[in-house]
Amino acid sequence: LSDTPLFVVVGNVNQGKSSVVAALSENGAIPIDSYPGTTRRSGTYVFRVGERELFRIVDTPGFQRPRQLLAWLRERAPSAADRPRTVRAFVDEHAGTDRFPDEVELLRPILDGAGILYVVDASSRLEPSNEAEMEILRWTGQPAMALINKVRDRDHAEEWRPTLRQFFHIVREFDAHGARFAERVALLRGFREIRPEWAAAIDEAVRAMEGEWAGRKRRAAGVLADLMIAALSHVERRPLPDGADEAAARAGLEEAFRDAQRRLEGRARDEIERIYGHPDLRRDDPALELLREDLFAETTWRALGLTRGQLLGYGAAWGAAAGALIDLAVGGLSIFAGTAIGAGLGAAAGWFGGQTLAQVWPSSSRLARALLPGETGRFVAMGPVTSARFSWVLLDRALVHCAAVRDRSHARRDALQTGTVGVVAGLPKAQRDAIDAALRGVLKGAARREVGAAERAALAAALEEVLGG
Amino acid sequence: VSDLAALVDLEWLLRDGADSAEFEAERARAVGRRISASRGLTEAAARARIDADRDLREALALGWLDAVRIRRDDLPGRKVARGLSGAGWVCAGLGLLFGVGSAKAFLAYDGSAPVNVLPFVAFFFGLQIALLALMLWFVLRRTGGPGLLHQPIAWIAGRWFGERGQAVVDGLRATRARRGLYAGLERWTLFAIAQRTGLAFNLGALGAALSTIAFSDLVFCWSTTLELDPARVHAVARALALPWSWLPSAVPSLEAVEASQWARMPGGFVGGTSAEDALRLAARWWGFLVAGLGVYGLLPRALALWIGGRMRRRALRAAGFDHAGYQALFERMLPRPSGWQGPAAADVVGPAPAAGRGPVGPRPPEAAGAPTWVLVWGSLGRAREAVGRLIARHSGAELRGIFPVGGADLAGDARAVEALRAAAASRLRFVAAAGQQPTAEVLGLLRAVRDAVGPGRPIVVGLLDLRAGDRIEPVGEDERATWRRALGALEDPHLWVEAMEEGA
Repeated sequence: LSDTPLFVVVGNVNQGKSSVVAALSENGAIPIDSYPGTTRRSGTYVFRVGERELFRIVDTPGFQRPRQLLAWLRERAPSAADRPRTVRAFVDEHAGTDRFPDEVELLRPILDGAGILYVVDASSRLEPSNEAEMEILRWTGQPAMALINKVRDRDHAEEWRPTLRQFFHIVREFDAHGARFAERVALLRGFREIRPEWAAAIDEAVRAMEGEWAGRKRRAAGVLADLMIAALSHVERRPLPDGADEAAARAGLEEAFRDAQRRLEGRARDEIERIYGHPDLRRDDPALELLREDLFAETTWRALGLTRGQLLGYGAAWGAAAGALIDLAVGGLSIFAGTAIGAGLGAAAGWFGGQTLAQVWPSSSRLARALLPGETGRFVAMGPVTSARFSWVLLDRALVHCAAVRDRSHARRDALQTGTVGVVAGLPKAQRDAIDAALRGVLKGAARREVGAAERAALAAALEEVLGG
Repeated sequence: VSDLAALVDLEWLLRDGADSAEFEAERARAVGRRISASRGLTEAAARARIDADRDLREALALGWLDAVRIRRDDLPGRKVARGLSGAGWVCAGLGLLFGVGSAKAFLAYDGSAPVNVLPFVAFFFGLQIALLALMLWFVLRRTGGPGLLHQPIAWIAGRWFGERGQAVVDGLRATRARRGLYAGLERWTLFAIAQRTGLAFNLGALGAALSTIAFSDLVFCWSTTLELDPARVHAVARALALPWSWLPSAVPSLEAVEASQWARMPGGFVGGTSAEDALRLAARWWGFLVAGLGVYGLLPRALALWIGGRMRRRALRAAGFDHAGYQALFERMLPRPSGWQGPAAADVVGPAPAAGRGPVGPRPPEAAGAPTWVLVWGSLGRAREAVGRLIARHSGAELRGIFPVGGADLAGDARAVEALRAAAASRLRFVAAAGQQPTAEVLGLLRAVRDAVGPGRPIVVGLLDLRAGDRIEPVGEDERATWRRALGALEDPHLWVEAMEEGA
């Protein structure tokens, strides 16, 4: 018997045992299917810190013949003291035979001293076969916790609870498909109650998981900052060979610019999904649409990015700040006219300024030459992004995706759905202000071809704060 | 990083959309292991520190790059570094030539008229100070950074190096997104190259001036159209000579300034200075010019070159190694400090149930009025009367018997099977509560029932979500599909799974 805490997840078939293990172990590759008996052999999932094993969880096949097994045991155990020995005798007798292969497989780790996690599906009714399972587990004499999982919408949890409490001194609810990090950690902490001597190892594991989680948050914030810098600084170029139609090139240019933004968004999403351990996620949401048709539609304003009022407020604030500098420069002789005019212009920019995503430049322009060093011949270029509003929309989509990936349980096998409602408009003002300042730094840097390390650090820090939840 | 080539190579390898073959986990992992061990850390400890320890990130990145360089010799870093170094030496050579030429030009003397010191002072003192100030302003204002190097490199490559040059331009485009992170490095690299050029220029000018002074006899004067009196010129000269005022022989006195004013019309010293006196005064003037060249030209350039070099190294050291490209690299180099390990899916999963033959028709034969026996599984056994009523109401069948099975007592199953055998049941319904799974126990019972009643008798399996007041809720089609899939393994052509809900 190893000193490493060992927990075995058992229950009837198709109760979500593998889902619980997948959620806890962040393993999206654990086979989960609707047909009973998907898991045929026990799988041991080890949590390590460095080279040290802190604990193990064993996923098992479900009970297939619990009533027959219990009947076998009852025939052979004359007293309560004989029960664990009888269970062992059952395993020894049936090992290698095809009579009770699943039961042998699931009982073996329990007899090795594992703590039991008995998983039930609250969308099923409590059946006599379940009672037989609980009785068998009681016969093993091992400490146990019951987990009420819910595979479907039906809810019979009230029917289960009184019975579970008769067999298990710890009963918890755990939605394997909806469990976020906090719930997973809470469940792991609950494991300490199964066997108190394992508490230190569990505590250490939880600390390690929390540290890893904080690291992921930092890395995710960095990825989002890099996305914003790359997308807002992007300049797309189309060559204009002799005789080429400039109007057609300009039209194609805009589409290429949008495609480039989509590619950048896609790459950032891949990276976020990799950070949170969902490398092969399917996505159902549409590619980034740059609101070509209806930039000022009320629905768009509501769905993503800041609200009109917020954009206007930020525009006015930044304009006023710039105007105030002029007032200061003339020693107050302007009687705050600079502040007032700046606020007005800023508000107008906030209201109307997002209309143009980015400027289009001919090859003869100095800016185009500067933005595209070394380019020869004629071309048209588009970028960098000038629309503060677009930067908020892009960031909002990235944050919505990031939150969906972060909070997605590894038990899920469906496509990721991020929804279309943004989050930035509802952020606390302090967080929004920090992001606004950082985004303006990036936009300003993009316009002068220099988004430096300081701007990146400021944006990453602001985003890390937002991702805290 | 004190090596620009390494930084360029890393950015090139980690650029967006780069071929990620070099990330190959095992090779990267081996480097991570070696670097961690060299610092006395386990891989897990190194990974835990990676976000906070810039030096560790640098060591890992450089270690990985060294490993990549063994396999690849097509990385652009060394070429860029060599190119920049070469450009720096070319600029220095040009500066040296220009300095020599300028000094020779300004000190040109054929004996017909003395050398006018004012153009020399304006060019070698004033202009250089102004250029240096301009350069400092350009560097310190922190704008226009990225592209300072990109632009000239791309311009030269794009125009003069054909396809290879175009590849360089493409590379510069690919790294454009992150070049802002290295704006300081670009600025100070350019600054250092410019100062090397300036230093060479001044060395050339100083050497040329000294050789001209040493190997020919020069006579100096000052001459201007402006209305400058000797006192003012002397004041300016004395102010310029302040840094070397402790060297009186290199500071022109008022008398010397008065005596060396020259008028081209009629072609002689204004004060009527004799040729002997003019030669004597020359010593004062050449000392002044050489000292000024050293103090206003050579020294500031040497200082600026030293500062530029330091700032460039500092900018190199400031590389954070923390953007998304590096994160992806470190992810491959070091295992997470903590994490899960588990078996492969194939090691735990069983074969999916065989599809089986399935029932002979899409629906069982019409049940209305047919004698039917009902088996009620598990918890539904407590509500078997209600279940019977529902079946009779919905199918119109004539119920001959309802048997609870799947209860706590195994013998109940056997009794039900025997009763069906005795009755020679011609048509059966098996009903389980929604959520019940087709376990081996259930399949075993159905097999026993089939054996008891014989082949060809229809058995209809239904899942029932029975609520209070005999209300029925629909059961998901996927649940029935699960049962169909499992029952397929029985290879029974007269076994159906049907919906049991209102209107079905």
